[in-house]
This record gives sequence, structure tokens and C-alpha cells, in this order.
Amino acid sequence: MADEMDEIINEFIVEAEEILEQLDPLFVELEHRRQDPEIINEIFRGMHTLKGAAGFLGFQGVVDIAHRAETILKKIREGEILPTTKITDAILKGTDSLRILISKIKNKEEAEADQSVLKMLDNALQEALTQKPEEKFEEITVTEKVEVKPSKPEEVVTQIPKEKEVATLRVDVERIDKVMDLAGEIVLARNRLLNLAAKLESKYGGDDHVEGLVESVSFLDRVTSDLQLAVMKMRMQPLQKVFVKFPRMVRDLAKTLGKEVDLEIIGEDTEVDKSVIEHIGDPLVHIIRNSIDHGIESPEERVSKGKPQKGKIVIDAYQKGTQIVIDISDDGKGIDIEAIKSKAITRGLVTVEEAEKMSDDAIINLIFLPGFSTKDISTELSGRGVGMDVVKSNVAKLNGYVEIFTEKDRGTTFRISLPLTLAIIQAMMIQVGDETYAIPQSMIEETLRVGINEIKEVTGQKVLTVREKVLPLFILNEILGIPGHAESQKRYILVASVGEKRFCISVDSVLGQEEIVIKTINGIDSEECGIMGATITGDGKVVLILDLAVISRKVLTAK
Amino acid sequence: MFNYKIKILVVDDFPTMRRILKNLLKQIGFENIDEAENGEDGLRKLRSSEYGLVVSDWNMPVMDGLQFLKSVRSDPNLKDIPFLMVTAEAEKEKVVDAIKSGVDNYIVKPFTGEVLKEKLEKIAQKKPSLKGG
Repeated sequence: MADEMDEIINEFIVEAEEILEQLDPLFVELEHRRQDPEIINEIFRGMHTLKGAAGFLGFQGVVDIAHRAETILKKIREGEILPTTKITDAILKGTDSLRILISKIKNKEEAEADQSVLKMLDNALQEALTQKPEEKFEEITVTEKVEVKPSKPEEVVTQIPKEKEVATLRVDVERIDKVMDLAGEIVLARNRLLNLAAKLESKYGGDDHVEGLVESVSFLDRVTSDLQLAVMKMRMQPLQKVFVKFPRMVRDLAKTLGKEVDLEIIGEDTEVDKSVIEHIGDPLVHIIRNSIDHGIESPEERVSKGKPQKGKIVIDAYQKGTQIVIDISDDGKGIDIEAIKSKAITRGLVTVEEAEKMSDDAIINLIFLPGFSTKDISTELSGRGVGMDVVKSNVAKLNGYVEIFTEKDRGTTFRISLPLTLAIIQAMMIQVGDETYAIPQSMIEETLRVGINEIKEVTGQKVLTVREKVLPLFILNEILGIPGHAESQKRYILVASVGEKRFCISVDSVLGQEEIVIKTINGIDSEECGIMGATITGDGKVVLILDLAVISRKVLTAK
Repeated sequence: MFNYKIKILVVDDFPTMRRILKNLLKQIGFENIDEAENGEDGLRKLRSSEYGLVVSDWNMPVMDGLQFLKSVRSDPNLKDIPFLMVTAEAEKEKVVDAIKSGVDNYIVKPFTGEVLKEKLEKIAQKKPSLKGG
């Protein structure tokens, strides 16, 4: 009997947390779209549900707060009060309080409601009810055209949105991880079989059994690819899970800093692997805080520049090829390149001479160096020594990278690019000297074979003209410090594109494309050595996987 | 006391609530309890199998308790099935609508197993199918 109760309480906790998580962004929207009955209904139902279950389980604290919130929402629904900032502040404080209570319940502690919060909710309601009709209308600054859709009253009220009905199953993450591991092993085995089958076919082409084997392996190949895709999809979840807490965060931050900010989120349905969901939150939060703190100007400053008083932050998530891209853009004052230059020099991160030689792009990327942002930043929020370097390393851990685009007074965009699947990728196998390496296909635009005389040199930098564009060229042997083969008349060239940068890499030979499983190597810093992991190829060799993003940064930094 | 062998349908959109109701019903002695997430889901289940009692929440998405009740009562195969509506304190005024639409009894949450038993006994007085041998 006690176990049954424990289980029920645990389920209550999980579901209460889910409800609270979904409610926050709704409140923020309620502030903007005051009379939207769909939003009001959804919030009301959330509170109502919480109150009901809590009542049964004897969690009076939860009941007390949820009841007051529910009453306020009922009055809003009936048109007796308006969801003013004061009201939403009170309810938000209420949900914060509920979160605290739920975690107390989790820890099997007493969960009594905070009296001050209860008073706040009561006062907010009383005030709203006794306000004179004229006072009930707050100042609304109309910055955009407001569209008024006529509709019948009954229609509006009964339109409770149909919830997305998807049959789901709760599964232990461990079990899914196990399946993923096994799928990865199957991919490796499949590669090996493909390899052997090909060799057998070339040796014993006519043999019936060999032909049968080749056919079976070909079938296995297709099924394995499907399996891999299906397993990958099991772990994918919409980015909405991460984005859900942003509206509230932006609202609170903007208030604290005296800025006015509108947040727009696009593409929250975009799905990513669970591990991305878990680790992308912090970097995003940091970038958003940065935008509000340093990017968006104060309302007065914006007006004096002829900009709209409210700043805008847009989070746009989309799939681009085999990558997931998240853009965080603000229309603030842009990044001050001179200020970064001088700060970097002051902090001893670059010398004056080095700084002079650096391109604007390279200077902006200095903010990613550890030790750049720190304690003397006046606001407590973004400068706690937790700088952009943590953002970069967190994104790198997900095998992604960050780019910055900025324009003075127009704004700044941070672009985070992540691979679609962490573990299994298409790779180009290349040879440098006696060694074989793998390079993620996503970074390679095309492969060419050129005559050695086509490679020119301009001010000490080798270049190659590819379709009328002159691109810098680097010899991989030199970058890796490997003695190369004797110069042959033809070179194999990979045209790489990493973010916006395009360049060429010359290798000794291109062995072909292979689907590989990335195995991470513990104890190395991929940022330092440019190796993102290793894999076991179809013929059983261990091969290192090169991270062109890191390599490109190293070779392209000095202009 | 009751016909404990009957199948009961518990309808509520919040899984924790369904568990709580199921638990309370089990404590009273019922063994066979099914769940549905909303009125539509509930109707489908009622039409595909034989149930002896429906316990439904009022406030649900897709099809709420009142609509569900009305749909059940207008189906010739289901019109006599014992129906208990679970309501919140604030909804008590609307109970009149439920009574007009043929609900057998209503119960206000939160409630104890004892209260639930009493309400079911009242229903059993009028609907002998719920009564036990």
C-alpha cells in the first residue's frame, strides 16, 4: 500500500513539473495577448489539475497557491479583471512558489505555502477587482498594426484546442542508450561485411554462394541504415523543450536591466538528439543574457538612434543539410570591435602587433578565449567569469561550432551549428603519407584532382582557383606534421566549407566515403589538437577523425 | 456490497488523477478498472466493451465530462450505465446541468475512499446492476 502511494506521488511530481514548465511561457504570452481565451483556458486547466491531484494527496500548500491562481484566472476568463503586469507578476511568483513546493515534496519535506506569496496573490486580486473601470485599461503602446478578427462569442469560448494526440511510452534512457550502442556496433559490423563481401566478389565473382552472400549483405546494408535512422529518431525531441523557459527568462531579465525586449521563437518543432537538449540550454541562456545585457540598448538610447523602443531577439532553429542550426539574433548595437581589441590586449591575450594583423572576424572570435570576459563587468548577470569560452566548449562537446555575425548599430547574430546525429556520420577517408584519416562529409563540399601547376602562391599563401573563386589552400601533411609522399604531378584536393569559410586541403589520396561511428577519445581536448574522435573502419583499422572546424580556425586566424 | 466483478471506466486527462481514482476503487474492492483520457476516448472504450460503471472528471480537453455524459445517455446501449461525475468545488453550480442530463451522482474533490463508497452505494440503490449478491 505504501509503495502504491509512493508511486502515485512520484507520478504527481513528474506531471506537476511538466505542467509548471509549460505554464511559464503561456503567462508571458498572456501579457501580450490579453484576451486570448485559449491561453487563459490552458493556464486555468493547468492550475485546476494541479489543485485537484494535490487535494487528494494532502498537499495543502500546493492547493492553497493553485486555488488562488485558479480564482484569478477564472475572473480573467469571465472578464472581471484584466491580466495586468501586476497580476501576471503575482501569478508568476505563485508558480515559482509551486516549483519550490514540488521539490520539497520530492525531498519528502514539509511543503507549506509561503504566506507572503499567498498575500501577494490575494492583494493582486483584490486590487484588480476594486479598480475603477477607467483605470482598468493600461497604456498600450501600439507599435504594429493590430488585426481585429470578428467572431461569434460562443465560437470563441468553446474553441479549446485539440491536444496533439500522440501515443507515447515512457522508457528508461538507459535502455535506449543500450539499443543505440548495439545499433552502432551493427553499423561497424556491417561496414566490415560490406568490405569483405566486395573483396570476395572480386576474387570469386562467379561462385553462387559468394553471389548469395553479396546479395544478403546488400540487403543487410539497407536494413542497417534504416535501423540506424530509426534508433536516432527515438532519441530526438523538439527544441521546444529547451526554448520553453526563454520567454519568461527574457521578460524577467529585461525588467531587471531596464530594457524592453520582444522575444520571437521560430522552429521550436525542430528535433534534436536528447543529449543536445540536455547541453544546449546553458550556451543559449548565456548568449541571450549577453544580448539583453550588452547588445540591446536602453529604450531611450534606441529611440535616440531612431530605432523602435522595444528591442527584438529572434531565436530561429532549422535544419540545414545534415546540421541543425540555431540562430540567436538581436537588433542591438552590435559588437564593438575596437573595444574587444583593446580588452584582449589589456588582458594579455594578444599583443598589439598580433592584434593589428587580425581580421575583424578573428578579433570577434577573441571573446571565446578563456579569461576574456570577467569580473569587472558591472552587471552581475553575464560577467561572472563564465564567459563565451564556456559557450564554445559546450557547443564543441556536441561536435558543433559557434559563429558570430555583427554589424554596428544593426545587431548581432550568434549561430550555433550542430550535427544532426552525434554518433554516426558520413566521412571521407583520406590518406596523408602513410596514415589514413577520416573527415566528416558535412564539412566537405567537393573533391577534385588538379595538376600541381594549378596551385599558385599569393604573398606566401598557396591558393587554388575553383570555379572562378580563389580559395586558400593548405597541405594537410604540413598541418599535421607528417612527411608526405614525393610530389606527384596531380594532387587530390578537398574543397572544405566550415561555416562561412571556404578553403582547400591538399591530401595524398582520397580513399572514398564511408559511414562511420564516432567513438570519442577521453582525455584529449579536441579544441587543441583538432581531433574529434576515432573510428574503426570496414577493414578493421583504427582511424582518427579530423575536425576541420578547429583546423581551419588555426590556419585561417592569421591574415 | 457491490458487484465487484464489473468493469469500471475511469475518465480523466491527468494520469495521476486516474491512478488515484483507480487506487480508491481498488481499496473498495473493485478489481477490473480501465482508463480513458477524455470523453471521446471514453466513448470509444464504452462502445467496444461491457462496463458496469463510469467515473468521469468534468474538466477535460477534446470532450469534457458534461458532453461525454450527454453522448453516453443518448446512446441506446449505454443510456442506463451508472455514471458518477467528479467535480471541483467551484463547479457545483453546474452540477444542475449534469443532473438534467442524467448523471446518477456527483462527488466533489478531494474526497476520501469512504465518501466515494457512500456515493456509489447511493447509485446502487437506484441501479441494481451495481449491487452485489
